Amino acid sequence: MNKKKNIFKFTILLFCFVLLIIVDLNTGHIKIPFQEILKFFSFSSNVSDDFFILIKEFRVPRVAVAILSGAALSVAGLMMQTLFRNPLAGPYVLGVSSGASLGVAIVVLGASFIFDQETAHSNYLILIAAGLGAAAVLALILSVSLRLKDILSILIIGILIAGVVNSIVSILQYYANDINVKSYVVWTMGSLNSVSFKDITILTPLLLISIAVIFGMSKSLNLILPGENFAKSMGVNLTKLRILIFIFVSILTGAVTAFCGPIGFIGVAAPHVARWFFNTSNHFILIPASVLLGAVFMLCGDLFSHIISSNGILPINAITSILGAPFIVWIVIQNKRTIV
Amino acid sequence: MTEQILHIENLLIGYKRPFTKVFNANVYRGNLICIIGRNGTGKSTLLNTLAGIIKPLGGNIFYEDKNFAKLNLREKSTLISYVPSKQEYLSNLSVYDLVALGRSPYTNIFDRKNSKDKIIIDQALRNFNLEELRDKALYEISDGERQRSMICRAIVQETPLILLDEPTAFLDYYAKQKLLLDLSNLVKENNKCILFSSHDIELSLKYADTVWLFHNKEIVSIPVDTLKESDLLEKIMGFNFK
Repeated sequence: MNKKKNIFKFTILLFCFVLLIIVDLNTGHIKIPFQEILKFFSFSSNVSDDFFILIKEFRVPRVAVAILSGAALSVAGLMMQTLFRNPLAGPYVLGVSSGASLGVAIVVLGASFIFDQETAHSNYLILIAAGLGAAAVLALILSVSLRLKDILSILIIGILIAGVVNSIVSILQYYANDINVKSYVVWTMGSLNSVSFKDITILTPLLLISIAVIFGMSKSLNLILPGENFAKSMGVNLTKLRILIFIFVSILTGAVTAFCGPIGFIGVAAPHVARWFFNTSNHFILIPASVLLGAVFMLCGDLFSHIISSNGILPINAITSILGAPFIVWIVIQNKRTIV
Repeated sequence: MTEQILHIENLLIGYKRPFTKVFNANVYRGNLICIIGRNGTGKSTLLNTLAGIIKPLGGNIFYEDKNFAKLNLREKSTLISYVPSKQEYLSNLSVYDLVALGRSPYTNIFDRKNSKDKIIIDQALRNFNLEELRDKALYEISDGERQRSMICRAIVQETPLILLDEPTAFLDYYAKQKLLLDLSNLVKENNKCILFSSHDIELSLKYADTVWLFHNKEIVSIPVDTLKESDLLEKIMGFNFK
């Protein structure tokens, strides 16, 4: 009975997902006729060259990044909400996003003293910097979490670290020159367009493998829901689980943040909607649901960012917040109480 | 001849400082053991220690002939199931999902349940009158119903040793009686051993075989019949049978 309902719900989500992909491929500076998109995907040879390049080099990467980043942030958020048993947790809260931002800030704002402008703004340097920044914050939190048993204390420390990191970024901004500050600020607004087809070939396996591994941890994630002592008595190695969650959250968050900037709200909103839509906390359902919903939200955000302004693209970060916040408010009011 | 299931040797329980003097006991299958003592004497600590959630300060626990300290978590979870006194957190998990978690020590990484697992779960849900609640989320049901779900999960885990911390706490009088009767039947029919702590002394003594009494920093194991004849309970708990 429940199974049938869930299959039905997944079908709805999949339908929205596919629909949004097609519509989003079609949307942009230049409208591409649907026939051309269909032709492109049926590998038909009579797609006009202009459209072929436009779809392959610009639209497909953009849509793929929207799907991947939405899915990754949403799964990262879900894991943190489960681990911290806090519906407000997300990649931001542990300071992982801030750590990645700090890495990028150091490179973009500070490194032009060491490298030339070109090198300092290259995608790979930013990726490495974001990864290192996220990993540094992670290592700090991990070392604390080995001493502290209480997960709430770790959450508080995560918030404090995020605060300190943001202050350092402010100081860096104060001393940096105008051009670098501008490019950093633009980066913080988030963008799905700065990712090339080649970047996607790195991003896709990295994120998909991480999500697959996390899906493999569903059983343990379900077992920690009733409590940590319970999980322990059911044979869950809590320390190992925590370390794994931290590592994969920082991979997911670090990679997405490096390529698209710190994108907010998806990580909090999508798992909530998944929990509400499927009315469950079972991770075997929640993880695929979060993947789909995260992707759907991001595609919606991308769509809006193109539709609203006819000349140019609105920052995706602003869009996800504007669309995401009312959604969460609505769900919280509907449920009257929020439970992980 | 009953089989020995637990051998407790010079056990010291507590957090940093021991709560009680060393404790020695042999526990046999087919026994329902009730742990009685004043608040804060260490009943939950003892159960936590036996469940492997906290480490003992000293001494050894042997499960059959295996040293407890050397078993890994997964092995432990097939030998001992444990229900904490209060559920730590509410969640959106359904009653069915919670009870089904009891099978997780036996399932694969994707928690795939075979038909035998499903039969065990369905039967337990029926025994605990939880069938109507099976799709309700844990935050939607009452404390007593949640308690019943947790105990049902422990039964589904099918371990020879079951530890229950105040299982009767949130239940109404009827449910308390039913639960204790069920536990005592379970112990006898399936040759298991159940240890539970309780403040419902009168009811517990009706069904338990043995009592572990926390008194003067000591844990004493006394058969129920002997205890009923002594005045120990009146002295410690101010409890009078008459």
